[in-house]
Amino acid sequence: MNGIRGPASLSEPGRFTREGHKPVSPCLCLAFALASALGVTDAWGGDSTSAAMLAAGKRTYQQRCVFCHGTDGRGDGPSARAMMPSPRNFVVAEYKIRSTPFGSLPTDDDLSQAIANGMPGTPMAGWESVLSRREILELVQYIKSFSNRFELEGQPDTLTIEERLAVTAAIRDEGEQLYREMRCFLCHGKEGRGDGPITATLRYEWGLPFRARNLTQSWTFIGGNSARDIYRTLSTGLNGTPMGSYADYLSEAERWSLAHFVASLSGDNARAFEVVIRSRPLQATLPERSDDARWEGAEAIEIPLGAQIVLGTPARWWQPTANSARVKSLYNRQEITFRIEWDDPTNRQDEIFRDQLVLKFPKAAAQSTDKPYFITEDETLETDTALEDAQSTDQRYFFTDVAAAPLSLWRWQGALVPEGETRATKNRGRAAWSNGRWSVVIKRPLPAADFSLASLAVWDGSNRERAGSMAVSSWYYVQLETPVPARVYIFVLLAILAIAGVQWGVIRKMRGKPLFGRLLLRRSGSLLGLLFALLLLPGAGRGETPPEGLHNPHDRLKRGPPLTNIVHKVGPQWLFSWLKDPRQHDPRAKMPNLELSAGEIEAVMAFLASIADQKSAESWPAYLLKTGNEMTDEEYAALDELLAAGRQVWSRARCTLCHAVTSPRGELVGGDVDLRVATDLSRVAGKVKRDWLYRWLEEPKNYFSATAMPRYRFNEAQRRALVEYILRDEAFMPEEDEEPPVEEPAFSSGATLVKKGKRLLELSRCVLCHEIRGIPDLITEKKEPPPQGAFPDLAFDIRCLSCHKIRGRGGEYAPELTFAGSKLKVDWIVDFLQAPDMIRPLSQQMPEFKLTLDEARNASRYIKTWLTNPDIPSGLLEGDGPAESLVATGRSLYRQKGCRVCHTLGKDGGALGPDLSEVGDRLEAGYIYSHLKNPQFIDPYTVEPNYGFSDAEALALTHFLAAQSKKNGGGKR
Amino acid sequence: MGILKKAGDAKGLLRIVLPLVLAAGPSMVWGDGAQVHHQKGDFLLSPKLTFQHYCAPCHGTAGRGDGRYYVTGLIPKPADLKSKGAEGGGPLWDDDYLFRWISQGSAAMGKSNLCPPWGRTLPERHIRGIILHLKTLAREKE
Repeated sequence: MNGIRGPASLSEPGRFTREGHKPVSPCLCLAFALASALGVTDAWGGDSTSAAMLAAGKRTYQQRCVFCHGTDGRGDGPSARAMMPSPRNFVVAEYKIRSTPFGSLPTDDDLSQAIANGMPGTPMAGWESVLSRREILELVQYIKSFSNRFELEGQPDTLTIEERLAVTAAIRDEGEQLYREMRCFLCHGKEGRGDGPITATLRYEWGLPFRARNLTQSWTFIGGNSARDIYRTLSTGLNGTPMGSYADYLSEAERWSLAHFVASLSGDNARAFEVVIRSRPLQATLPERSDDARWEGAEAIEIPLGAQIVLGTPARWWQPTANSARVKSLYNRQEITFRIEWDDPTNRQDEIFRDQLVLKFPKAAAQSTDKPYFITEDETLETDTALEDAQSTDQRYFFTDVAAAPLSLWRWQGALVPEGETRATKNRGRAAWSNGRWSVVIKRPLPAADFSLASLAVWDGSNRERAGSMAVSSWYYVQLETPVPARVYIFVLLAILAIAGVQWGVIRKMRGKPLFGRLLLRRSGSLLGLLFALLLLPGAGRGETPPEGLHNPHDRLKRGPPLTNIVHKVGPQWLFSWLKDPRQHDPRAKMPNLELSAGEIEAVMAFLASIADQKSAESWPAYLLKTGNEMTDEEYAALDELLAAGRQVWSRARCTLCHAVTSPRGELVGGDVDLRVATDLSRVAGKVKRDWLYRWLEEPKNYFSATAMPRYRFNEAQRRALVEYILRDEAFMPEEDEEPPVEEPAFSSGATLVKKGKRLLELSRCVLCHEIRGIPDLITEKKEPPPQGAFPDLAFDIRCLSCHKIRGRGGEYAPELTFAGSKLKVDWIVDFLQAPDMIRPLSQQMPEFKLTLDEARNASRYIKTWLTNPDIPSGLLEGDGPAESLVATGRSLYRQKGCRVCHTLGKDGGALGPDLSEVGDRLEAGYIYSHLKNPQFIDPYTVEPNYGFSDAEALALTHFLAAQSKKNGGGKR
Repeated sequence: MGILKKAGDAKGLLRIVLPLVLAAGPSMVWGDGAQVHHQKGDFLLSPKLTFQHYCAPCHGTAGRGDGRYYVTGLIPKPADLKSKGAEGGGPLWDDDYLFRWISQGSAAMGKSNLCPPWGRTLPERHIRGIILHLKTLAREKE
């Protein structure tokens, strides 16, 4: 694998100046000739951006780079979709590996080194062996021409690195301390495995997930893994990522200490990538636990795990979490045991799919060189199955194909449970997870032969890996080690020496001869690229953009609300306990535990108080500021009235569609637990301030511009009633047995405290999820143009896309509207938007947003114009209307097929499907027809089964249903 | 062609091909960690959830024939699949019979017209999964 080679660091100029040893190819000669003909006098410098150089760079680019980086340099080449991290976008010109300050452009040297040496840990290869130095320099100029930033910003200062070579234990210890102080563990984890509490929330520019580097796998460090490289990354940061520069926080010496500490985390870098797992013999019983001391004696091999890109179950999988596993094995007379360890930075057992491990062996010893297929099972092999697991139909993991094709390999399979016995089908296993690493011990009977095969597959549930989406290894040999006689070694040594001698002789003879291989290589490179392009092109370019910008409330870089005015929203007590441990406060909190001490929380709160705006207080009738017990009888009666009104506003606005509250029985109800579209309000009465809530209900976007909450257009009386209801009803009260906090936190002030708080927020990278005044963004969000046009404005205002999906943007909470124009009738849309009516009696209904007639008309015009599907016939039955004879046929079909089981017509019918009493007013006939022919044609998960109607039957039913309208008496037959 | 050069070229070739082939090998992305969402269609991964999506509206989540979405006054009522399975379901209650029932609908089996045919909507493996689930239901204790 390409990433394993120790990457060349900047400190190795030799790697880049070996040009002299290379044969000058005819191509290069031609390029020289061409260049001189065009008047480039100094080939190695001079007018570096001359047209000839750019043209030559462009040629090389189109031959070598387009497949990943795209013709326009946007990082969108045909193979880009399978790559993570994605290829660099040269138009944006954010370069990670630089010798220049954070946020600035790289030098030419930085770019040419990146091309020459590649980026370990990414799909970017080193081109030094393929391209000449000149070609690389030309490429650099061409790449720079994609962005005008290079012209505008000029050449920034470069970092000079004076290496501090002496590494002592004290320096390493200082580094370890700094690792904690600089809060590196928040992303990179306590032991550096990339498992820190905030790591799962990290995002790139464009909102792509960004994973903090696993610091124990130094071969994946994209900028190189020497202490010098790490020092450079610490000093300059990685542009466009949450990894900022630490030059402002740490002195040079401190950065060196930290760099040496990080370099030491990987331990021995030369991991043993071999193809044989050597099992050591043990006389006694085999170890049961992974931390048993006897494992020390076993030899570890590293097995690289790759993506499963072959089978489509449920999809080809390009991006598994696990990239390698470390395997040790021991055996005794009866049994063999394996310890398999791999890094998995998340272990949240509420993930919908479980982490899993499968260790496979063929039953019989290999008779020939044929090996069984390592992904699916081959029928010629042992038929021990995991069917029992399949029958339990555990919703958390299930191999969809098990029922159809019985497994035929001996396999150990288990869903992993930390710290305990794992569920295995036949063999014993024990799994433990700590600090970002799974360690599983599996024991099975000794294989029949000394030499067997094994292969691994690993699933990371939180990466949505299940069934065929996983990380796999190919077959590895398992060898039971027995002591080897010494003469074997001697013969091998002699043989190696003899062969080496012969080879040396041949090489001496062949040296210096012209080489066609290089040419061949060039051709094959582009041919291969072409092949890839052809393979991947059909998948590219899917998905259209909406005709006008529709804002997607679910697509925002910053997940959390802005913190600038947080002190106006919540009190100090709440904020303190939240910062102490958000999950303790709310088990479903997305906010990670930042592990702040009480003193640090005080500083953070002081900073937050210092940045808030001055706000005038709302005026409230005096009695509303009292508790219920303090009120007079008249006041209490008035409050009661207000609460009743508030309850009515609450239920009419259908707030529980999105928000969970406490039911009178003390259970959490409402909101969709899985979708988590909105904040859990079951404890909100003790959280928010009265003035804030009042202003929030008026226009949520004033406080949080990217919120998914719609503006409800409540009038003032309604808002006041709702505020009272939310602040006083038990549905929003915390449970009473909650312990009051011991200390009484308050917002402190003081310049040093504020400064400390700011520094803590910066180091904890809070700005990645929250907007905070005074703290600059690390990642600039791709700003979408504001919505334009009447409907996009309206959709932004009432947040249609929080629930509905249009062309892949928006929520999944309500019916998709992408083709609503072909489905719904104009008049119905206009009426419904003004006063939403019931369609599916037992499902959720749309809240009323008090749209005016004009707004409803605008919306319906937009829907009818843009949200259409050409496959749905338009204008069916228009003009003549339903024909009487066909209506009669349709009616009998409706009875015959048992439609009433699920649909209501008139007074009779089930409640699973929509009420069809006035369906002729609601749906276009063309849509009814298409839906009857194939109910799943728009939404593949529609429950309605496909009856296989003939065209005539579907048409008759369409006539019948189109005739069901208010005019005809609403389905009265 | 010299051996050394040949080896060099093979290495160069590997440098181009390997990253492409193994693009996703040491890849560096994952899902939402803390925020794994259910996605539409996840239910099809598990027979239990498939049953709950398509069958439970009438037959109830536990298969007791107590769904709440079917029309009142339905005759016959949706079958109590749990008890039926626990009692053995009669001489015809085997995988093939159930498969035909589910895929062709009750009318095709000479019964009422009330249970629709699913054969054009669900692929075979999902129907087989539902049958597996029915058998599990029958074994499960309340």
